[in-house]
Amino acid sequence: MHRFVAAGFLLLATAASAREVAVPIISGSVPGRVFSTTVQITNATASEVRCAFVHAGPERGGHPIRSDETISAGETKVYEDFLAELSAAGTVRISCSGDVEIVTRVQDSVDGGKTFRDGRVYRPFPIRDLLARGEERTVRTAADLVIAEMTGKAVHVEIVAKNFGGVAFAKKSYDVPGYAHRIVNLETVRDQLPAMDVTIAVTSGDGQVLVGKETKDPALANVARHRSPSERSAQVANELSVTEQLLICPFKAAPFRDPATGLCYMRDRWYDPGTGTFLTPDPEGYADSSNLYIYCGGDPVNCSDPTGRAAALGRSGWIVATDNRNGGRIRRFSPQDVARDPAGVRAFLGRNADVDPREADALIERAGFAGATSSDRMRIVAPGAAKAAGVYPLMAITAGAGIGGGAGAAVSTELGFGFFGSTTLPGFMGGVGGQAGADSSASHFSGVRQYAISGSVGAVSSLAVGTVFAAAQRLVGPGTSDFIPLAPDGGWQLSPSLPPEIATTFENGRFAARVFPHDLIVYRAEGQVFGRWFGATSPSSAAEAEHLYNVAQYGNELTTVSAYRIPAGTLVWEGQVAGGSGWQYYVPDPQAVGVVQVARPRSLPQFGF
Amino acid sequence: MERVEQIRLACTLLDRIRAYLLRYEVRTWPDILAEWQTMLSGVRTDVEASAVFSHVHEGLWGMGRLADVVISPEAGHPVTVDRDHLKSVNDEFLSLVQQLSDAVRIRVAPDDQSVR
Repeated sequence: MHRFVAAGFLLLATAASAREVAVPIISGSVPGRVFSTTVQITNATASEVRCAFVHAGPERGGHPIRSDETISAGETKVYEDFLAELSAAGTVRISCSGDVEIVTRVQDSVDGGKTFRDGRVYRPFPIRDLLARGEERTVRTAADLVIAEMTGKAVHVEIVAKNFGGVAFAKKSYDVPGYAHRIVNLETVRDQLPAMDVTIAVTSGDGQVLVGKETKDPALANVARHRSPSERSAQVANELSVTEQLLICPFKAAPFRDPATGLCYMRDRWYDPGTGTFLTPDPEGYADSSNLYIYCGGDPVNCSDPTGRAAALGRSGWIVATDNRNGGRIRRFSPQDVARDPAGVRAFLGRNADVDPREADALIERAGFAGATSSDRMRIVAPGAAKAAGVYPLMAITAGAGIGGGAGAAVSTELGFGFFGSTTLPGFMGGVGGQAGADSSASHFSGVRQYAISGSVGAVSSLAVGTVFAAAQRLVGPGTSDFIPLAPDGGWQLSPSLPPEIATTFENGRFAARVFPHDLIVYRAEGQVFGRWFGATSPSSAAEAEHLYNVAQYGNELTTVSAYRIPAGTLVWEGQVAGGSGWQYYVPDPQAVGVVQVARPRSLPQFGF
Repeated sequence: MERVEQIRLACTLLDRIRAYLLRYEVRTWPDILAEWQTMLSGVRTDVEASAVFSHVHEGLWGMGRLADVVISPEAGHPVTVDRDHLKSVNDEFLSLVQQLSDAVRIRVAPDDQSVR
């Protein structure tokens, strides 16, 4: 149990060997959002370690508040909703008498605290220096950012999002008071461009900020998490690495990691975090990528793949399914498709994609939620499948516990209430039920927490929490008014996207701009060579090409099919073909970006189904 | 704009695009554009005009449509590999297609879902 007590106690960890880190904390609620921070401390040494927590935020008029903790040898303690009593956003300095590993996790809820977005974890960019007035940094990201003021003085920060060509298309600014944080929610911006360069500039104020980046890659988290005791000691002891310690949050339910080889067992496949690829081919074949070994299509930030297989839920509200009766082809159903023929879609999902009827219903219910929010991603719709942009960290809990060291336990029945709505969790196995770490927050929570613990490597290798709050309002303690409001969502100033003529080539004018971090192999059924529109799949006949891409035979004689490569980093627009069932990519100036034909055209029969 | 003027404008643009494509030895499309011109020349009523404009507009944007033509050495067109030159050649072509699109779109009802 941890308790915060008033200032005035003797400092516990003042010995020469003490290690100290500053941990950014945000906890409490602002209109529309509730935040919670957890801190996990692992003592991997053979002796007891004492730690002192000192909160130095401005909430109590500058008077520090401290708590003393003891972590036994080999013990991991989790301090959840760390500063609920203080209802504060600020910085906690943690001083320990020995080497420990400290990780923090910021999570937020957009539904009043009922559902916390899992995976809201942040890692600092490798920027050793804090940003001060007049300084700026540009970081490449596909994830949200966090800006943390670290010195207690206010700053004004300007954020500009640019495409990889350096063209600014969205901007926003934040006033960040001392010791406070701002989560730079790029969700709206990602609707235009999922990956971008973001420039963070401190334009006024005397404070200094640290920039962190959300990460969703369990394997990455695992890499960050697993350090040998000696490495860990060196890192903690190194003053310069303090910023790197901040915000590193591997609270992801990564599966078993082989301690000898460092490889991650992803249920269906082995994953090598060193290369970012799988070691065995994708069991789904080429259905969703031309690279059989790639992880998450090379986009681990926006995707997780706990099993190494295909997934079933599209980020933009489309249903994406693997047609197991047709060579593993990916089939996509637009919300309009679902609305038109829900029974047909349900039948397809059951018959061709082997989806449980209840999961199919959940999918159909969710179809049409354009720009799925992170909280949507909490909903598990297909056991063993989570590859689409919807990310389901909880899925990883399922096998993470079972494989990791036999720590599996029965699922808590409390998971159902107010958490997943009508969506059920077939096949879901809880991790280690019960409460790990401190219990001081018991009065704030329903007490339902699930941790996946992989015990076979001798330490907690992963930790994912689906915290259910029975009474969210209790999160907000005294001093609520001290909370500094976060910049409202949707405040981004976005640039226009495609010209209307181009937009109409996508079904219902719906498309998304994307920059793929890897080369993209695409196809064209054509009489001429080259073009601006490309298809995701290779048609087997002219008839199929017409069906997929609505290639009206004006100038296109549909005599051949060719494969092209769109280089990594190219800005493309993608979506379903208007009037066709296929998926297309639009590249305005293919020559300029280096699109090339990668295989000799092969002839296209008129009918070849 | 009067129907006759609109047809004249569209035919002029079709002429220019056709000449442009012939200059770069683009196959097939010059014949199709000539066919569109013939159709436009035969228009006698507003209803016919709308139908032909729709037909032309439908052939402009998307995979396999006119705007999908990229003038490039890879496609065997007599054009230098110089990036800037290629860009200006294709930009000019797309500008002509855009003008044609604007010219024939006027007659298309905004809620006409058959047009893409």
